[in-house]
Amino acid sequence: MRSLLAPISVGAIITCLAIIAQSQTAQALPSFARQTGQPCGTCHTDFPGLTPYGRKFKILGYTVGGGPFKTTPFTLFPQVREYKKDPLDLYADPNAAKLPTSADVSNDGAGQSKIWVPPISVMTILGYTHQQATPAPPCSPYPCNDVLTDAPSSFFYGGAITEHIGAFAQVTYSGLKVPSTTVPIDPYSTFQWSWDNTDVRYANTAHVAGLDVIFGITANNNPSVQDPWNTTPAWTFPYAVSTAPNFGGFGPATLIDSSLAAHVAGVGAYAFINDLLYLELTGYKTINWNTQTKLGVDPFGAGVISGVAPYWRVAFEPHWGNHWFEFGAYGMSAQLQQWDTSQADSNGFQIPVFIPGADRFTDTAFDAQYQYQGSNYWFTLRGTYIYEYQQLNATFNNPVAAGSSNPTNTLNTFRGLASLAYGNDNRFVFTAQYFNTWGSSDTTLFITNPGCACSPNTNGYIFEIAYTPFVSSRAPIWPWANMRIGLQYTYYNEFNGDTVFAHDNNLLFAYIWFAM
Amino acid sequence: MKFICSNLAMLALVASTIPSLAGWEGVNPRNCTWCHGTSAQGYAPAPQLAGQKPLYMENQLRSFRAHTRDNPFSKLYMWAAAENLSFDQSRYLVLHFAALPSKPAKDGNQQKLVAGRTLFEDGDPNANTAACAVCHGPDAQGIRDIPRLAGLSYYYLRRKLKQWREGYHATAKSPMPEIARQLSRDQIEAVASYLSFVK
Amino acid sequence: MKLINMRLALPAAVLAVLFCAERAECASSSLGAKIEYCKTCHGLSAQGYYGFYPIPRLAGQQTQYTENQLRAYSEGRRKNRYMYNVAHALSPGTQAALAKYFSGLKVRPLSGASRSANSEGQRIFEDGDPASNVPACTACHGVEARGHEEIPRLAGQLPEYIFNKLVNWNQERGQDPHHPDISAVMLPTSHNLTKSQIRAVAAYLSHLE
Repeated sequence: MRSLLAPISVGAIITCLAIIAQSQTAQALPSFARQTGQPCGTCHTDFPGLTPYGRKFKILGYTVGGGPFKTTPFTLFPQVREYKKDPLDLYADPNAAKLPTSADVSNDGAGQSKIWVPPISVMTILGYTHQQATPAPPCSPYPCNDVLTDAPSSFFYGGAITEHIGAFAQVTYSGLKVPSTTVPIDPYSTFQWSWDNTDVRYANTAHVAGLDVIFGITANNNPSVQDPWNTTPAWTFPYAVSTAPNFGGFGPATLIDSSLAAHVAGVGAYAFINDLLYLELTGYKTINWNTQTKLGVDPFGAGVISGVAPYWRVAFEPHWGNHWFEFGAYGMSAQLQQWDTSQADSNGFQIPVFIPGADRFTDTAFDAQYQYQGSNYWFTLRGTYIYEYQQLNATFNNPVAAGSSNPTNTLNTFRGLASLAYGNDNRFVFTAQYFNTWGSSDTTLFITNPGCACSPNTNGYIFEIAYTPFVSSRAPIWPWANMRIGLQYTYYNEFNGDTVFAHDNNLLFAYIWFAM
Repeated sequence: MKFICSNLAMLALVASTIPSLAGWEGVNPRNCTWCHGTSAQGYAPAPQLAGQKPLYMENQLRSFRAHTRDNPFSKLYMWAAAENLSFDQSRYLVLHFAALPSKPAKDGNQQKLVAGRTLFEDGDPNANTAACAVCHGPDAQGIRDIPRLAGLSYYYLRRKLKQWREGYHATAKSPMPEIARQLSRDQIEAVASYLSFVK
Repeated sequence: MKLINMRLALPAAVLAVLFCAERAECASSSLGAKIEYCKTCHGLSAQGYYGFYPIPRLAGQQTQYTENQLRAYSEGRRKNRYMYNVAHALSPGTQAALAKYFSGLKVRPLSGASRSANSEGQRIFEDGDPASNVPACTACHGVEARGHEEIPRLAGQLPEYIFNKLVNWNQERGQDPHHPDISAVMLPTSHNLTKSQIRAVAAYLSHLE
């Protein structure tokens, strides 16, 4: 192993080099494209949805190189040229003198004196949201409808750190507008900067019992962010959603459906056997209260895991010709201590006290995917079904006031989508998704739902057209910057248990997604 | 920040003095295997590299850099992949892969094996189709700059022959486009099926 | 499949009348198509090609010699699985036409046209090796190694091809003892030359134009 640097030093070095590098390059970089030398369409179909190669890149720990720059700041592998067989034997040429030499080949300077530039990227989404029925005021400081937003913006470290360690780490500026007022504001509702999806991995390959194995360790902050198939919640369509504050969302989310995102940290091990079978087991714990606030996360946003919550994932991906199928299952089980929302300080802001006992959430999910690669298009089908069984031992038995009307509830989520990415480097993408969340009615939990059908049921369709003008590697500003222009329409059949006024929530969201 | 920067800048400076072989910048075969399969046996649509003839692979890398080989997947993936390889790095990579043991893909049509073998070993003299074995070897093992075909994926071989018929180019001096133009669809499927099973 | 050589159109037309029954057969049995077929392996200018095996040069080869070889292949007197398939499917008239065509081709040697003067190979070719009972090759093959009638041109031939044939003469040639042919004359010579001598002569010949 090369000289070891503690992770913090690495981070600091990277920051320093970024400062140095910024004087050489005006902008930060779309780092994966630069690291591999590949255009965006190699790894992404419906950006950021992944092709099989994109999945391999992720499973290999974001460390694959091949681009015009050094992959890591360390001396490159391998140090010594060792050949497993005598080169002349391999060439099997009785006239070995005829082998071309470097003098016969013009080099164009390729591969010489590569420099390392830290793989930093920046993205921002400009959005315009129009809702079918204007929500009732108060909406301040935003307009009630036809909302323009210039956030979120994110910074990323995306790429290799060492030969076998790589990271995808995101820090997001939410663009939250904080109203100016003399009245005290809840300190945990005003974070403008927070850490976001983060996945740091170690990956290596081995040959075991005649099978190729890619194995690794992941450290991440959101169950399923580490998963390469875009069927699991962290990285599933829709990738860009309206950032207007009145956006209603898609109904209540199961625990595994990003409910714990950024509140937890998990470490796990995975293996991908013969490019066919993926197995993973990761354990999550809730991050310390103070640390969450330093990371820009509202610690009251989720319950606290007791002990370690296991997350498991199995996926089987047979492929042949230009077809890839995937069938899998995943899930997690967590005991959560819930915050007592009745406990407040003198300003009326919540203080950290638990209600006695713990709720237990058990999520079991199935997913499937089909991808077909044409000569200039990708066709993708994805589906997932999550079943959650909630044992509300704490919430239901809350001595202050019962938080639910049932001791147990179930919640289901289904998503199914079809997507066509067409054209040079997948520049046109058409996506249609059906989403459905349904579950136990609960007159206490869902009491705020309109008319109190008191059911969480929310379902509808999302349609999206997106265009990426600069994806091609022949475009003038590749790989320094690119942009995705999208138009997304969400149609609700049912919203929070109500079908009568569901269409009021229908949403048109137009966005320009910049990445540099 | 400045204080930390200067200390770590020192560290970086020290790190950069770790000796590297003059003129040799390493290249990791994993830059290839992430698409061509962990043990380089191929991962559709990328063909098997393990056990392939090194001079053939060198020529292909050169033709990707010169943009001679121009079918859609070459353009999409290999032009970028070969762009940043120096001569030494190319040679290192091809020798690495040439030495790896290969496993046949066995994904052809089993009904067409006999027809495929006949075409491969004897050609079709009445249709003026030369026997592939004359250049590619009786076991399709290849030699020098003529590729090994044994065990390559049926889908890959079929696609290459079809693309040459459609007018896509091979490397500069390759006779294959002309040869492919003389093959019928049935013959292509038969010989590609047969070759995918050859060890 | 295109007809590329119009100066052979007349004999081809004759052959077409005599030998093809239907239009489809006609196309693939046309002389032009057969020439293209030969060139698939023997090189685009018939200069030879390094496939898995060294495939010999046909350009400028003696007409009678080429015809004799094609007949020897199809009758099994010369053993080669690939050439047997090829020759077997050619009518005698086509064989003659092909031989005539290739004899008229001129092309630079595949190994390049440089020659190293006064090499051992040149010495053996011009003077033989009397001590080993090897006659001078020029006696039959000509001073320029271009051959005569049934004696083959060697000039510009692939060196590995010459080497392989001389070393394996009795395994490939004269396979029908009841019908001995002229190839028998090379048998003692091929025995008497050492491998390094053969290599030297082959190298010398490969550069001759």
